[in-house]
Amino acid sequence: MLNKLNLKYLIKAHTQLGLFAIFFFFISAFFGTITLFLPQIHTWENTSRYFTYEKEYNYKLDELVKRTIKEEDFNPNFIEIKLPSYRDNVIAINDPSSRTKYINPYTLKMLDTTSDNSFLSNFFNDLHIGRNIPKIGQLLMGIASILIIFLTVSGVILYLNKHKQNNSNFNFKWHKNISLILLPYIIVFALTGSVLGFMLSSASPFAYAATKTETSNMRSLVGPIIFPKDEIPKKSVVFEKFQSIDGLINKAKESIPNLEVKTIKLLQWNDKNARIKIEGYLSNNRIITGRVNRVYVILNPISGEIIKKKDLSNSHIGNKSLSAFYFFHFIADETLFVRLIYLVLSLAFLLSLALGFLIWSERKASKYQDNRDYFNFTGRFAITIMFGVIPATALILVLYWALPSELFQRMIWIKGIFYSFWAFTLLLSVYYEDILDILKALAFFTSVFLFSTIIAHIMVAKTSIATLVKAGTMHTALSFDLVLLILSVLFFLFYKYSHKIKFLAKHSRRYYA
Amino acid sequence: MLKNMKNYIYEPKSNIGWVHGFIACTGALVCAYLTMMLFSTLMYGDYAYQIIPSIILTPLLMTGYGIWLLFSEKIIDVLKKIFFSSILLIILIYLSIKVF
Repeated sequence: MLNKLNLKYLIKAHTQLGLFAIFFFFISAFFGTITLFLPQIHTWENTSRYFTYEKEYNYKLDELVKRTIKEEDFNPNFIEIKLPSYRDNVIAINDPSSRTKYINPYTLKMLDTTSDNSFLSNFFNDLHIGRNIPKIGQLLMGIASILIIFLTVSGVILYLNKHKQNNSNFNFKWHKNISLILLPYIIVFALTGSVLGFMLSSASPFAYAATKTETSNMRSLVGPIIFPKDEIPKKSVVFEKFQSIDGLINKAKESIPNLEVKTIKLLQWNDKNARIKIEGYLSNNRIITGRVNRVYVILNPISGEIIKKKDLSNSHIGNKSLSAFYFFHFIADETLFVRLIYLVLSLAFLLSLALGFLIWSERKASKYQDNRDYFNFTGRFAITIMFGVIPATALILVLYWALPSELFQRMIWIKGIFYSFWAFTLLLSVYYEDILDILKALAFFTSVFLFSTIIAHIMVAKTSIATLVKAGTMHTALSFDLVLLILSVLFFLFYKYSHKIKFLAKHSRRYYA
Repeated sequence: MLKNMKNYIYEPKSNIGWVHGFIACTGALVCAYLTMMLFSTLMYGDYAYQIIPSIILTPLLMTGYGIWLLFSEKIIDVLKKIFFSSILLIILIYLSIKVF
C-alpha cells in the first residue's frame, strides 16, 4: 500500500498528464477507429473498385502475367503481383519503375484508376498518426501514447490502493470500470503507438550502444535483418519453358501447409535463371505471420524445385515478435467481424477518455462555482476536440464528392475547409451557453453533412452505382452509403429528441425540468 | 536568490508542482534510455536482438522510472535519484562497451 503523500502525488500526476495526453490521444483514437474500416473507405472513395463481386475468383495468373508484361512493357527483373484480399479486392501488378496496374479479379479487365487517389484513407491515417502536423505531429502522438501507458499503470496502482473505492460518481465509476476492462487493449495500443510514433525515430542511442559507438543509424542495422531485400538472379538470356504459376502456387502450398498466398514476386522472369517467390501468411497462425513476418517459398519456375523456404521454424524471433506486436494494432488480414469487435472496444475507450476528462471538469466546476470562466474554456475546447471532430469529419466526406474534380489544389481545399470547420465548432461551443445546445447543433451539422454525402456520392458516381444496383449485390460502396444514412438519421434523432433523455437533460440548464 | 532556490529544492512538498513533474519526466526518459542502452550493449545476437527489445521496453521502463521518481518528497530527492542512477548506468555502459 502506498503512503498518503505518494498517493496524492500519483493522483496529481494522473490528472495533469491525463489532461495533456487526452486531447492528442482522443484525436488519435477517434481517427484510429475510423481507420479500422480503411478497406471499406478505400473501396468507397475509388470508383474503379465499383464492380460486382462473384462467389469465386476465376483467374489464371499465367495468362494475366504474360499479357500485362507485354502490354505494359514491365521490367521482368522484378515484378510484384498482389492477389485480391479483404483490404483491396483487386489483382495489383507492378515493377519498381511503373505505376501499379489494377485488374478486376473476376473479369480480368484492367481497371481505369486515373481518377483514384485514396485521399480519404490516407488523410484519416495521417490524422490518426499525427502526420498532419509537420515534423512534430508523429512525435507528439508517440509522447501521448507513452503518457497513456503511464496513466494506465498509475490508474491500476490507484485501483489496487483502493483509492476512492466507494465513490459513486457516475463519471468516476465508469471511467474506472471501462478502463480496467479494456486494460489489455489500451496497453497494446499505447505501446504500439509509442513504438511507432516515438521510439522508431528516437532509437539512435540503442544503435550507438549496440555497435559499440560505431554508428547510430538503427534502420541500417535492423532493416537488412528484419526486411531482407529480394535477391535478383543474374540474367542468362536463355529461355526455357516455365511451369504454370498456379501450379507453382500449389507446390508452395504443399510445402507450407495453411499458406494463404498474398504476394507473388517474379524475379528475372522469362529467363533461364528466373525465380518465383510466393509469400503469404498462415491461416492457422495469423498473429506471428503478419506483415512483418510473411512466410515464403522461392521456386525455380522451370523445374519447380524449391530453392529457399521460410516458415515458422526458420523465421527470426525479431520478426515473430514484431509481427505479433503489430498484429493487434493493424489487424491487417482480418475481416469485418474482428473490425466490428475493435470498433466496440474503441468506442468504449473513447468514452472512457471523455469520462476521465469529465471527472476533472466537474471537480473544477464545483470548486469555482462563482468564477466559471476560469475552467469553462477548457471544457469548451474539450467539446470541440471530442465532438466537433465528428461534423468536421462528415464534412470531408461531402467535400470529397461535392468539390469538382478539376478544382485547382482540390485536396488542399478539402483539408483547409476541414480544419476551418473544426475551428468553427470551437466558436459554436463558446457561442452556445448550454452544453446540450452545442451537442444538438453539432449533431444537426453531422446529420446534414452525412446525408449530403450520400446525395453527392450518388450524383458523382451515378453510372457506377446504377450498375451495382442493377447487379443486385450488396457492394461495399452501397453498404457504406447505407451506414452513412443510418448514422445521419441517428444524429438527426439526437438533435431532435436528446433533451428528452434524462441523463443528457441533467447536464443542461435550459432543458432540465 | 540561491538561498531561495536551495529552500525550494530541499523543502518537503505536500503536493507536486510543475518543476517536480517536469524533472521526473525528463529523468524517467534519461534513465529509461540509459538502462536500455546498457541492455543493448550486453545482449548477445544480431542487431535485431540487441535493438528491438530496447525499442519496445523503453516506454514501459519510462513509466516505471517516472513513478519511482515521482515518489520523492523533495525535489533534491528526485535530482539525487536521477543523478546517481544515471552515473551508475553511464559507468556500466562505458565498461560494457570497453570490456565486453
